[in-house]
Amino acid sequence: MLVFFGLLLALLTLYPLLSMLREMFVSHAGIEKTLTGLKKGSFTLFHFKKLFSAGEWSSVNFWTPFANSLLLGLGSAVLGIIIGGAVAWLMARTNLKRKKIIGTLFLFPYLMPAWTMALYWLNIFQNSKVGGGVTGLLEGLLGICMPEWFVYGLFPCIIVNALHFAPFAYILIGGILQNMDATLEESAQILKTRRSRILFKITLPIVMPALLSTFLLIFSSGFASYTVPIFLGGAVRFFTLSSKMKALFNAGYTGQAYIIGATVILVGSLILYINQRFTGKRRSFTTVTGKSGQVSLINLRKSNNPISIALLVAVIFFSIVPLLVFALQTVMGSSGVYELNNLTLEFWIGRGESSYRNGMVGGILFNKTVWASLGRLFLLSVLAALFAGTSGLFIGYSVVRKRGTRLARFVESMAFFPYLIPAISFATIYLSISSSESFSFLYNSFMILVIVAGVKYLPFASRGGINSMLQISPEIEEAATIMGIPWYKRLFYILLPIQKTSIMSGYLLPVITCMREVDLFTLLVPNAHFLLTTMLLEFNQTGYDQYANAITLLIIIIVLALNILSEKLTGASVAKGVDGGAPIGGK
Amino acid sequence: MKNTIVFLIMLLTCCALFAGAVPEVSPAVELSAVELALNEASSLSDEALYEKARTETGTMKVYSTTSLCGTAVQSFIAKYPGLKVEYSSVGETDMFTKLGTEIGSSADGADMALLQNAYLMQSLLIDEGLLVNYFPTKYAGVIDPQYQNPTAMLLVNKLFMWNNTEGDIDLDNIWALTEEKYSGKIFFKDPSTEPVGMNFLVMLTSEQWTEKIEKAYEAYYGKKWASGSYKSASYEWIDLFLKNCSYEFTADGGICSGVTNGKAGNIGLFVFSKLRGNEAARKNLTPASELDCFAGFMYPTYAQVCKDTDMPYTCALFINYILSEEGSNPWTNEGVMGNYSVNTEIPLKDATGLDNTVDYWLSRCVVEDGKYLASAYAEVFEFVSVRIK
Repeated sequence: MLVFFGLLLALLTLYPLLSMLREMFVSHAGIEKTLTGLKKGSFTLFHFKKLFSAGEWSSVNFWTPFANSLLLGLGSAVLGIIIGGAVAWLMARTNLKRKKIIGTLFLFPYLMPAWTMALYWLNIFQNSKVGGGVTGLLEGLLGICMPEWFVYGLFPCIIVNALHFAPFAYILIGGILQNMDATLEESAQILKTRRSRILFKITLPIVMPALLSTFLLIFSSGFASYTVPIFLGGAVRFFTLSSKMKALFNAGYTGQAYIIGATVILVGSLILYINQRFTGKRRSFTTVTGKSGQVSLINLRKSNNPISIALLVAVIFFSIVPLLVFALQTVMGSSGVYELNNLTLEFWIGRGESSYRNGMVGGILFNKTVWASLGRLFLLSVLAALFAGTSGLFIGYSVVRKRGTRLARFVESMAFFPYLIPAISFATIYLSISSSESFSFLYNSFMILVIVAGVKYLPFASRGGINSMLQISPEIEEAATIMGIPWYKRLFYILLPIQKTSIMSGYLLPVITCMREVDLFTLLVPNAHFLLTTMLLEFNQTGYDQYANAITLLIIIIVLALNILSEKLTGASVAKGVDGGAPIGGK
Repeated sequence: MKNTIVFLIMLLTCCALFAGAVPEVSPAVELSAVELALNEASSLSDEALYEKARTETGTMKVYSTTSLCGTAVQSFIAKYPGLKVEYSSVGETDMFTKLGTEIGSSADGADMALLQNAYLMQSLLIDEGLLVNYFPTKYAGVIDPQYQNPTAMLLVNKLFMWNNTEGDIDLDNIWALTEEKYSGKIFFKDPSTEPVGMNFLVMLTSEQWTEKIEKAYEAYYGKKWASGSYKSASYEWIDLFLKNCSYEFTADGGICSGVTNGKAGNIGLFVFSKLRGNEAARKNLTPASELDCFAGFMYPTYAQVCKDTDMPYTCALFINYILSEEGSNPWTNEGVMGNYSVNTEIPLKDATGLDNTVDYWLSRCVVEDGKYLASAYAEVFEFVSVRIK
């Protein structure tokens, strides 16, 4: 099985990586052909020389965006870990009130696409003193104008990314805190050790592997961030490597664009390597020991109410309020005009000609194209999740059982690599693959979307699969192995029933991620209206903000409903998909 | 053994990768079947062409950056029963990646495309032999020769428009846009990511526009432009203009609503057609149509046939149709503004009273020229790119 996945991943992951490598050394049509004087496809080092030669070109197109990406990744990871870690600690280790509602709402920003949080930030904080001078909610309601650095640039990009990924930190760190043996801390307490010393000498070292894993995930995502800097950075010319990569692609500097893409992958790989060096040996036992039955919660006493209320207000501000703001934007005849007579439901329930002037026949609830696009997106998400989830399960099983071998390490690394490849490069390479003679049956097909999404989201599923299999002791299988029961029977009759909730969650995460994906599909869909997310992009580009906001709201509601429904029906949730553990903070 | 497997996997992948390298397209010595069919089609009547098109089997696929193409396809199918046409909306920059990858490959992609950006179309697709031009001779007298090869079907204008909610602003010369008082008040899509905006800047460096920009300088400052550190007046204008620009908005629609609802006196450069169906924008925005020396940028939408189409006659009939008054109606009817057919027989039908004839805008706008773009694009792109930081 491991050999099968080795071959499959070589085809689906290594091939795109090597394709990228090739593109960095050849001349392309258009401007590159003019500049190099070489035929399309000829070998050249021009792209490297151009991008890395001392001078303004290199500084503007590589080094400055590189530094910005680094700061963004670093800032997002540190802040995300602080926010998520603090909430996780409060939920798992204290007697904080209102845990259930806080725990549920805290996950919302992760379920929403990061760029919707960026749009929300603008809707709230843009004001007449900065940028285009469009009045935001804060100024409209309270007359407060925030300064430019707060509204645009590195600072809001870090905040938005950190808020989006803080739930990741919360789930991973909270999972460890929930499951770790509390007797260690209790022993220290009995020995009258100071709280700060317990935190730094016991708690933090135990959660360190989770911290590093979280750092890897948030840093990589922040470093490769594209849409958030596009929305929040343009006004102050804050560019990241991803936005420069897109700019160079658009201008025809394909080779240099691929070098930037490779840099993003390289930095991600470096972090992955560091993470594996530090956590490789410990990761396998952090969650297996089971939790102590005597977890004693820290009593927050008088500060319990103030802390829980402040936390609740904060999570409502970044979970429920964005939904209300988006809902408000969808009923405004003209964007930014906060007047009662400007309210309309035409973008939701308009019919025929009345809404045609707004760019579409019918409001989104009565438009067949919208429903068809939603249906396709949903089907795609389910199929991609089946592909990723099932592969992730088998990869998890085979990698864990052959742990320590080179092939297992190869498969594990290859399964994680798609996470590091920028979506634009990934889509471009798969477009090229599906256009080749051998794979032309995939072109413009639904299947190519399923494959590309399945592979791109494989890291979530394979990590989930590996984590859930690590939690099961090999002894459980031993009796069946001795009896000569084949591996698939052992997997289906012994292992799956034990870990069914966490495995189901491994399927849910790709569904939710796929439901909000845009960049990965724009090149591969037969037309912009094919999926609801690509349709949303078209509305954004054509300026029909109300339709774009309505579709955004629809996607968020569906994602939230899916998570809640799945938790009610099967016990699976995004939180368990990331961590595989019990709900943080107990009941 | 495991090492060997890993090595073999990598070796096989590398072989597959480089075996799949795109072969260089050699120039065609003889006319292809598609070119022959299109040559024949160019002199046929619509009725004769329809008969030929009916013999073609399958569905003709047209990619378009303009969503109104969908409406044209519907009326085309209604007029010519039996023909199957499918329209796909493709983004401006994705268009070149998709066509460049698809045409000549095994993919069952587009048969023809309605696309913008003369430079990218020429350098990435036409120079690579991927597109074939078709122009119906019956329109030779009513369409300017410059729009016949490559065939254009529509002209679009991007205009400087300003927020008039606190009255008139002192803006009558393009050099005013470089003044400190407009710093951060001009909204323009980042030209390093948006090719149409870059084409506009490249066109300004042509001899013709450099001369005009120098004259505008003299009119504005009362003295002749003197070359300092800049190569020409155009480069100086571009540099100072870009310093005043904000790239807050990534789409024309965003600039339109941002300037409409933003601060009085703010200026945006975006497609005039965004004012269609937008009462607030029509009320709050004023096009800078009398700006010395240009009011904006004008560029064609081209209709081109893919070299590997197996439906050349249907493509030709569709191009004939969208060049006619009936077929161009989705873009030129009374409810639409900012789109102008290249067919001079089609009159302006704008019902808002804000639009003007194509000649009016052509005399006030910088007009895209694919040949000049090809000669100057790299130099200007690099000049612009290092200034957007």
